[in-house]
Amino acid sequence: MKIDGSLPGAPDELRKEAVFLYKAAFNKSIPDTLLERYLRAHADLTKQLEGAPFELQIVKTIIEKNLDPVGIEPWLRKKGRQHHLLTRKLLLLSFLNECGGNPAGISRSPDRFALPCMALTVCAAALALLRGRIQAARYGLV
Amino acid sequence: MDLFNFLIVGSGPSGMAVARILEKRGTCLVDAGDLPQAQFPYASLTEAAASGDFSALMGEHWEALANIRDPHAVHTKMKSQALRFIASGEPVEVYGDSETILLKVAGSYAAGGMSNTWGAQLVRYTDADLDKAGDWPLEVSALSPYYADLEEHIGIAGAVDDMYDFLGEVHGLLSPPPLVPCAQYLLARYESAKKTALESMLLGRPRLGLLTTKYKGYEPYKFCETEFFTSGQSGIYTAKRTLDDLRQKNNMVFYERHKLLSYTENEDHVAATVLDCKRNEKITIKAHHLLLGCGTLHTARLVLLNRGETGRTLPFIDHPPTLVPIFFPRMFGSILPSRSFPVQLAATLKESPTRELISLYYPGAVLWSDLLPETPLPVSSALRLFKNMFGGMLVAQIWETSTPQKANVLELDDSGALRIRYPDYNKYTNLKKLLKIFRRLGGWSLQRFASMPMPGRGFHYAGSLPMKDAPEPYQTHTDGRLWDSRRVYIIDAAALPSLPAKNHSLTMMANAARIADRILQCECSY
Repeated sequence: MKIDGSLPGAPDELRKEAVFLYKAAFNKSIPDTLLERYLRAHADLTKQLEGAPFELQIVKTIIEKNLDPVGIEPWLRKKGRQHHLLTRKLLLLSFLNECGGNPAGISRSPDRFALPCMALTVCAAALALLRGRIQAARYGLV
Repeated sequence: MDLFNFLIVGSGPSGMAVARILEKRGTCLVDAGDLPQAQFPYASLTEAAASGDFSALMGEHWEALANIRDPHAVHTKMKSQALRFIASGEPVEVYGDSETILLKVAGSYAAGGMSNTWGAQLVRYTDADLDKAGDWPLEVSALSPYYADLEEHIGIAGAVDDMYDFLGEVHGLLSPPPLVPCAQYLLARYESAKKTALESMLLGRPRLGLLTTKYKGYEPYKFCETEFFTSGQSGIYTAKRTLDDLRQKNNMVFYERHKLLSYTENEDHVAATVLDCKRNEKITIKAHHLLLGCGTLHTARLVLLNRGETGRTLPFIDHPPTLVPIFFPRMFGSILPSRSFPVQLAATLKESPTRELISLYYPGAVLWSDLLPETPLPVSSALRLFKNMFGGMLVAQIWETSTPQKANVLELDDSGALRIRYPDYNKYTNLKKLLKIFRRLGGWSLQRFASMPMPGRGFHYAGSLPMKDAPEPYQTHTDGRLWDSRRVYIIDAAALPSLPAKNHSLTMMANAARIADRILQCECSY
């Protein structure tokens, strides 16, 4: 089976979803190769990437209402259960990014500003979580 | 048809420990393995990650995404394309306290067995370990000469430090692998604290079957951090190394890709019915002694199948470790070397009756995406945080003593498939104390960060056919024979009656070697 290769028949919704989620997770536009792989994964891994109707509805709502998928996603995690569809889609993008020559990058040089950077990241994460929780409650996602 | 003296089934650690002793003695080895193994084409994980070679990391069939829906579908260490061949044996369903399948696992049909994926920690049990675990009909002195012989054969890296006595006496240790900065920091803090008031923990270098220098003609380990992507790397001992050596010496007969189906014990020999997997034909192999070393699951399954014992339960011991990340804020942002070995340090609680072994790993050899579901943060923040966090983080893997529990059993179902019921296992009770000690050494964590894999994920399976002085049905004599047998021996971990809080690999091998030696000594008396 060849993972790479174009998938012209993929639905526009899936393309739109990939563009939206990637931008939210990585704050940049999705590269074409990664988009093709995202579509190919959905074509090949139908069982793993199919969602229950309520999960599909949540993903659809997030995209339609332009909500924050990255802030909402941690609230959808349930310990010991299968990953929520939104978690799976974000994980898929992360794996595609990491395996496709864009690893987030282990620190190979000492960073004197590590602690302040990490503190800022944690603060940003807390804000994202708060925003996600509010949006999830407002739109009845959790 | 030839009549062999010894028929060994299985080329895992136990089978190879026995084969070393029984070579040149009319021995035949039957193994289901030798399946083609995909290769990982990069010298290190860093090189692979930078290459942009998507299928090398993802796998030709999206193997890296195996757990994208079910977080426990495949053990993270066995996900990759080049490691899938290891868990290629008969599937086993694991149940907890309900009728819901928790997990599907499989034993190994790979040449070299599960050692293809082990973490190379090869430690001795001590008498204190056996006393704590209980039910052992042996003392450590019965295993000591075999420990020493195997250690000499394998080449063990480690250090004479505070953990030396706990991990067992070894002569001629090879130098330990280099430490990442965070582990260096922890060790320095420990050395400094123990001079003052740290009386509750021992910390030192781990004991590894890892060649840090050229040893007996074997190439040293290249510190490539690809343990999650390939097996059979030079310098990490696996049973496959011994298998390859023995095959080269040509002192025994090998039947590769052959599976034992059943056996019949006669007055002067055992007749084994074996399936030639390549030709799909059954053949019969006769031998004076049959030594079963197929791994706890397969061995128990074969013994039960051979007696048609559907529905009979046997004890089953798993050894699931507790995992807890320890964060060292002073080391956040420090350099992670691109070449090292994941197991960095070993520790135990001083004078603890539980005698737990705590292995400290650094998180350098895995895909970061695999760690995202365990991180309670938005994906984007987690990835940003990992960049600086991993330089100041070690993961403590805590092994505890595991004993047979009445409710934890394996059995054959009506179709002949093996099922495991494992409702009864406890959480690590010393975690609070351990985290308090790490705080004194500059490491921080919370009890809620601790996780324990599901039953069946421990991989240290044992105890289905335990050794006893006076064995009852489905137990074994201390010389390895099944309770009612003169010629069928259990040489793998199925015979271990309980599991001390350490990796059991070396003991499993030493016990197998002890049994082989004893068969040779007593052969005439049977």
